[in-house]
Amino acid sequence: MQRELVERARGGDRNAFAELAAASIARLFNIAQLMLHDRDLADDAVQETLVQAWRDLRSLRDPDGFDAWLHRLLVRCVYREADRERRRSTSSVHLPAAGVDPDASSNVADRDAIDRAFKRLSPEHRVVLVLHHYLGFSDDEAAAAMAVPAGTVKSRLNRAKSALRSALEADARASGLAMESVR
Amino acid sequence: MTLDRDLDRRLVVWLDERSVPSPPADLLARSLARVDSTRQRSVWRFPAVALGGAAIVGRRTVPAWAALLIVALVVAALLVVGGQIVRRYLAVVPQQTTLPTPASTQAPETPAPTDTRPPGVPAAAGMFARTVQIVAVGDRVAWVATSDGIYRTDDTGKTWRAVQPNGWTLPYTEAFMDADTAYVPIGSGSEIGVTHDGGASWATTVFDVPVVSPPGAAQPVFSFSSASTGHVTFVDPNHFSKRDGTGLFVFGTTDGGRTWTGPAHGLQPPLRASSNKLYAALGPFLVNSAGLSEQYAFENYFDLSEDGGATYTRYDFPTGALAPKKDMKTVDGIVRGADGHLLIALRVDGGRTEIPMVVYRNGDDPSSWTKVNELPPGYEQPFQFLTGNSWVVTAGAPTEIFSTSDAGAHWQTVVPAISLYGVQAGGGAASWGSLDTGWLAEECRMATLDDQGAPIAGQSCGDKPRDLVLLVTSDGGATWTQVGS
Repeated sequence: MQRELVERARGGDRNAFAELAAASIARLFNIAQLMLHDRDLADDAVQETLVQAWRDLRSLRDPDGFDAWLHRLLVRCVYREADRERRRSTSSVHLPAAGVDPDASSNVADRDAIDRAFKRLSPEHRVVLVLHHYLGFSDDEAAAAMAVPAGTVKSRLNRAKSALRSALEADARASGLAMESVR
Repeated sequence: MTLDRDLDRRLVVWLDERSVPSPPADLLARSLARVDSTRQRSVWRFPAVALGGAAIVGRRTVPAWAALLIVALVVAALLVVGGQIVRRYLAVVPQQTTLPTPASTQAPETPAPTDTRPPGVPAAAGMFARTVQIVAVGDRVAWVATSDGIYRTDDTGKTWRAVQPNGWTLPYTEAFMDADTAYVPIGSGSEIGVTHDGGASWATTVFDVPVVSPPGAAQPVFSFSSASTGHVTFVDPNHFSKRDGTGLFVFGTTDGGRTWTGPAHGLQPPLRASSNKLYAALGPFLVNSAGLSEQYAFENYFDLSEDGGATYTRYDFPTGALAPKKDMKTVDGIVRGADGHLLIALRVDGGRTEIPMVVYRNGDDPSSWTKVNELPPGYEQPFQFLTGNSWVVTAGAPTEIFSTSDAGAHWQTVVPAISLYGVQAGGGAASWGSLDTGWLAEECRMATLDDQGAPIAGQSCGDKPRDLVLLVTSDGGATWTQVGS
């Protein structure tokens, strides 16, 4: 079914493309907002992905590879949005609010800690973590989506987890300092 | 592995919780409206060439000879580029010699330290729980500066002495030069202490420099080329945080701090994307380089002083594929080689591109650099020049000790039995006195994991998992022994 839609869209059938877009848009938006940590940026990334998909659909040789190709376009657009955001925003340091419960065993505190740590990661690290840990992509699938060799996926995933761990530890230390200053 | 699994689990849970079931209601409509105003691109097909005829390229017609010419040029370019890549690969890939991990990884019995804690340090506290700096000297001597005291061993960690002088403040810029000589800041920052007998006695000198307030806010910086010759630099507190440069008061000695000359007044050249603080010296060198800024292009140079900041020389950073001009660069290590030329270990933040650390050799002018060798990607820190030819990298992820004694022509890789991740993550310190003997401090909870991240049986941190522990190796990093309490 999807193959037929892709072939029709590749031939210029706008309605077929609309069906493909409707079937994919929730997944694309979800992935983008996880990677970008921002719904507005995710909105822009998804729009851009669909426009590029339509524009370049004729270059897709294998209609069965539509989903993988769409992921690749999305990742590229996520990078672009992240770059734009990086240029727009000024550097800032987020300190944990004084009095926040630093108990790492608390689910809420843990979620907040991961939230803050994930935000500090580079877009490349966020992308590989979402592809691997949320979408469950294999190294080869992630490599296709990120347009890098599988070996790079492995090393990038390793570095992303190291960076996340470091950010979590730094956050925990900062929380401890904040608590000490309150006492 | 446990550490990884726990992180994986937390991450998966968090990602699931953050996922959203549906996009904004009008996103599809807005996207399709943009699609409506976008034309599909025609496809570039490889030409079906018939000599003498025309080739079809997409929807355009080009002469067959032109298509053949394009193909020939592309093939030629690929051959040239491919050849260069192969040559470059053969030129730079170091020959690795992996030492086998010893059959037995059981740590030797931990020697009991001599309990010589300075006054005020509770008996329950680990001596090295708050280690800031380690300096190894040869195979037996090490100085360890903690937030509670300065400790010294003469027997590879079997016994320790607390050797800090009266009035010693917080550790930051101490200079431990050899087995006997050390320079440390004292009091408010205008006074220093010098020992020439391994900390048994100290001589103090008070310098006529502006009073630093609050005490300890700006410690003097020691930059010494040998135990007897070097500089101590004080920072004018009124210039400390200004972006127009730093006022420096520089005193020099050639007799181990018995007499001093100066002050010479220096000014660290201001950089646009920098706090312009004076950072601790790398041996005799003060290095000043920029950070990244949203407003400015990276200032692709560094200022180097070998006279305590009285004068600076500007060096262009190396450039090339491994050092793109726009990327932020940091000098992680610097040393003068036997031929007098500078060697620098350069770390480049390539953003999306992973760039290995590269050691460069300076030529006859400040903009001339030649690549000596590069580390494989992933080996980032800490890098240490033991000499111009002997380098050590204490890598945490993967956990490996990576060393060379011939300037990177050949590398030796040692896989320790424990995780060194805590060192790589910046939560510790490392120092090598020789290619055999090295010291490191990392959080206890990291030191009780094996190189794969799994807990080591029988190892525990009690209720102090985040305290630093001190470890020493005498076999190049294969086995590590915890020392101290």
